[in-house]
Amino acid sequence: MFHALALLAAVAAGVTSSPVVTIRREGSPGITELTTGIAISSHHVITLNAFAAGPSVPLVEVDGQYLEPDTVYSSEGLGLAILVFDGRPFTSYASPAGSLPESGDLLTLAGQGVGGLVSIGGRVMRIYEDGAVLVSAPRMDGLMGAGAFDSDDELVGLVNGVITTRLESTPAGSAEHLAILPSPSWSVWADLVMAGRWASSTPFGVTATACSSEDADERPSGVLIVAVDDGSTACRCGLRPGDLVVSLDGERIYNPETMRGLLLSAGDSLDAVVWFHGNSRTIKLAPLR
Amino acid sequence: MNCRDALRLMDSVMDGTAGPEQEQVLHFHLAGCQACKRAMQMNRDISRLCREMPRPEPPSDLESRIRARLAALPAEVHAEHRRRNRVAIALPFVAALLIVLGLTLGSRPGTTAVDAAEAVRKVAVAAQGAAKYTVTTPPLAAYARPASLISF
Amino acid sequence: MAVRLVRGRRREPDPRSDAELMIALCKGDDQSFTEIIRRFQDPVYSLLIRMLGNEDEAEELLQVTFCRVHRYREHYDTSRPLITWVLTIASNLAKKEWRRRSRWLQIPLDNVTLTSPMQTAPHYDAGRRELKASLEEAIDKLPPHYREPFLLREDQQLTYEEISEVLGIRIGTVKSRINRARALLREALSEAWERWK
Repeated sequence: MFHALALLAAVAAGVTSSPVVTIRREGSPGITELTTGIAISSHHVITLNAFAAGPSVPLVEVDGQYLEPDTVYSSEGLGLAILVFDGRPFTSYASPAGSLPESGDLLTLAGQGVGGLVSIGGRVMRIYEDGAVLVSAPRMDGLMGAGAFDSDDELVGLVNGVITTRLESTPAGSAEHLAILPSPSWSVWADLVMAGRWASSTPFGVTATACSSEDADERPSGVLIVAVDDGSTACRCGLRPGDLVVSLDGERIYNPETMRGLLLSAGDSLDAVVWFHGNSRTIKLAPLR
Repeated sequence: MNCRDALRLMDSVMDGTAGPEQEQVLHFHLAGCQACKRAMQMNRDISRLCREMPRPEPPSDLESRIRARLAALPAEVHAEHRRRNRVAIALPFVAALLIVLGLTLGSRPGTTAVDAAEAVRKVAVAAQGAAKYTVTTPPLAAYARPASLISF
Repeated sequence: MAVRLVRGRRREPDPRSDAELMIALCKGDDQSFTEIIRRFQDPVYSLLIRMLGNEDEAEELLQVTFCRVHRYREHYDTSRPLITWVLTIASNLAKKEWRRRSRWLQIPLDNVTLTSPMQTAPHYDAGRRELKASLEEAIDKLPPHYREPFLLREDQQLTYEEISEVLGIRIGTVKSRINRARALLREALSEAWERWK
């Protein structure tokens, strides 16, 4: 069994545990799907939403046993899910990096491949218009949903796809990069899920969506406010439908889940830079309670 | 300035890395914010208590123990690599194995990425003589921009 | 077991700078090593004991640290502060020990409120001693990657740049970790602090 091999190699290498875990699901009958999860606490595992959703229960492998999570929290907006377990089965876990990596940084991508753990190095190329981190790395089995770690062993993010960009300079005319959903986009959400503080007593009063732009000069990427409830906090703060929230307290945001998380965890009002038809203004958003 | 920024600035002021204008900005905030004022007082007290905490005493015969240890070591090897900073290109805590059953896809011009991924998606694994079952991993999909609609 | 050093012990403090001591050591001056041990044993031991939590391991790694200082004396860059180089060695040793024992599993990441020890130790006198004891316990409960930069700042009084050098992380990361450590400590000590005030 490939797991035995991995364990043997791990013991031989002197490393007995890793925050990269295997998630196993039954797909169609006879097909077992293996994907990657990253332990972010002794009893939380984060993974791409696609791997945890659906009728089949995702099981996480710990010491040769398969554990079923107690609860699964998923965010459609971020495309992530957090599996919560009884007890504290994970002996090793990673902490999300507090800041974006810089162009040129070397990351380690680690994921669950068919044959076992796969781990390669990748270099950060740039930050994409919608906040994704583009990494140049060879395509390999097991990298979808893989964790990207920096030199401090912190979790920079999760691989959630491949982007092909057009480049006149290369003979192929295009370059392929792995896209990483960086931790600053989801760490606030993850912290709230782990602390169990996800509910607010009064709603903020907006309906919003992620809105990314191809051309940053024409229009920035951000969180598009689609509807504002009359008399709500959002309305009182000055948000209107069509507003594009670009940053909160100086940090660029690209996803409504991030905005919600920041509002929930704020101690005081947040400065929001809001873009509307070529004009930008700054308003104060009251925190969610 | 809001509390989140104030809490961050507090660290800089305490640790002496903030400029005089920044200190003033913080003081204005503290004058009007009880919560942050309390936090600053706590920070200061914690810092002072840390400095007053009893320092554990190393053993008195430390030097002789060290020298005995040094004497017992084999002859030094001077051909060590010089390491100024922690070189961390090696794999941090992932078991350093690269068991990829020939599934490496190099960048071959002309190969559509998605096709190639599909082609090697299914690998049949015989499980110790038991009935064959198919193990798959999700292929690297084209990046899809998140476009969810949520109300909160 | 303890071999008594016959070499004469200097009563006056050695006036040489850290760099001069290291240069002398490289040239074969053995007495300078005595001084180096004397100067740095306290900060190194302090860091090790707070990172590892027990005396035996801290003493063991304390010896190994100075052995390495001696062994790799040629590798020391005299333009950098000696304290950061010595602490880097100690910190890396402690980190390896943490990983080997997976000790960090005992501290759950989502434990936003560190339990106050006051609920379990009613016999402490109210006031300063209570707060100090709570502080030590609260620091011990900090996850190691927050605890270490915090200790280097408060215990060793290193600058952000020096901490960045010792731990091999970016200055921004140093700042955010210290910020987080302080926030966690404020939460843990809030009750005890109120009582003490």
